Amino acid sequence: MLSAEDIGRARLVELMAKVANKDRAAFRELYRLTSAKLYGTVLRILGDKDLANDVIQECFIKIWDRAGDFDPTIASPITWLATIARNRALDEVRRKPTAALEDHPEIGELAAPMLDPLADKARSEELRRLLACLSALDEEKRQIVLQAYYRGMSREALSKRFDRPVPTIKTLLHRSLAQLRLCLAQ
Amino acid sequence: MTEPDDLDLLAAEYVIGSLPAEERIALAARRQREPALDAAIIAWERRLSPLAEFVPGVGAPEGLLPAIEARLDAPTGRDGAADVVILRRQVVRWRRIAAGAIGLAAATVLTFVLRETLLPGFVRPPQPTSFVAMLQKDAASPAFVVSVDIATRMMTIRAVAAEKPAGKSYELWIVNASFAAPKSLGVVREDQKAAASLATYSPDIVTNSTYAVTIEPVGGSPTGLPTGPVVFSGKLVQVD
Repeated sequence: MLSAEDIGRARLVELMAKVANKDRAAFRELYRLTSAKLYGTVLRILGDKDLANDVIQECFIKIWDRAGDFDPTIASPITWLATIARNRALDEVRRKPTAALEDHPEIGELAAPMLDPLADKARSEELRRLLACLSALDEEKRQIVLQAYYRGMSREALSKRFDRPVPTIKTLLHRSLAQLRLCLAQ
Repeated sequence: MTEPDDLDLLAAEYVIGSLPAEERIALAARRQREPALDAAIIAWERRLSPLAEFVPGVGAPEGLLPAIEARLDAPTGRDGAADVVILRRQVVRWRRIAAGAIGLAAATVLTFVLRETLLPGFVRPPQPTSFVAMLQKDAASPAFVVSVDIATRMMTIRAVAAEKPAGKSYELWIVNASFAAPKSLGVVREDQKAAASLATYSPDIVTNSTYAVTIEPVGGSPTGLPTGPVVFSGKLVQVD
């Protein structure tokens, strides 16, 4: 039986195919369905609404231009779209390191991901596996990885946040990521 | 040399976003020429992508969609139109800086930092571009953007708003005080991207020269020297 998630995904795949054929109505629908997710993603990293407005516009222009590159056999549509948005936001935040999110606490703390893999049965199998592997990391390492991922924090920003020297952060990141890679490969 | 394992972990850091600016740009450039690195980045994107599910949606401000559509409808060719968009944004930003710093009127040849971030490819990072120049005749009319990957000394030339010269060709030149005369980098078209190798010039020459576009007979100057007027010019600026 198809879950709501499967239906949502199928709808997005269909819309992406139409957008690839320059269907403007499909593009508007795609925007309606995904803009909040993408806006949330870039705002969390950029911490600045004006910048987020610019970046999200560029993301959707890129989506319009590149929708034909999307391959539903390789990635889910929302993953593909979110990756575009994260990359653009990360490029932007690194270009203007002074506008990092730590200056904008009002954007709010990251809603902590639930790290009990059994807590939410509706999530995908991949997510369950990833969460299981993340929960095998000790708390500090897990937070370092998640803060980098969700907030776009550089090693230097992480160093301040976790009160550790930059080389230590790098080491912790590498150990955590190697551990994740191993865990996910099992 | 980087050990394979180190490289994979750098790829992971690229994806989670923790790399410092210079390393991020350097890795993005390496990715273009190292398929193994590109594959490692894509593999990490896939490993971590389920995390995106946790990001709560935030309603985008009203008016963004019409603004996006207006940009899609802008009367420029679709190919490269995204670059033009970036360019416009950067011009606005540059003007803001220029107005405060040196005064816009003084600038007849504008150059400014341009990060090319909207490029073809599946979630492609910036191209291996270290230097960028806008070639233009005045502040309001950028015509070509050139970008140079200094590692390979390959130059990419992209028209952004150049009009077709009737019965003529545009030719690009490198101009440097150490040359007896400008040297041709070839004919450039107003309707397509072009590439030129600068491998015969030292990095110092490449980065300290002026790049100029002249109007020449179809196919380029018959003499090997500029015969027509310089219509656009600019200097490279290092990106970041």
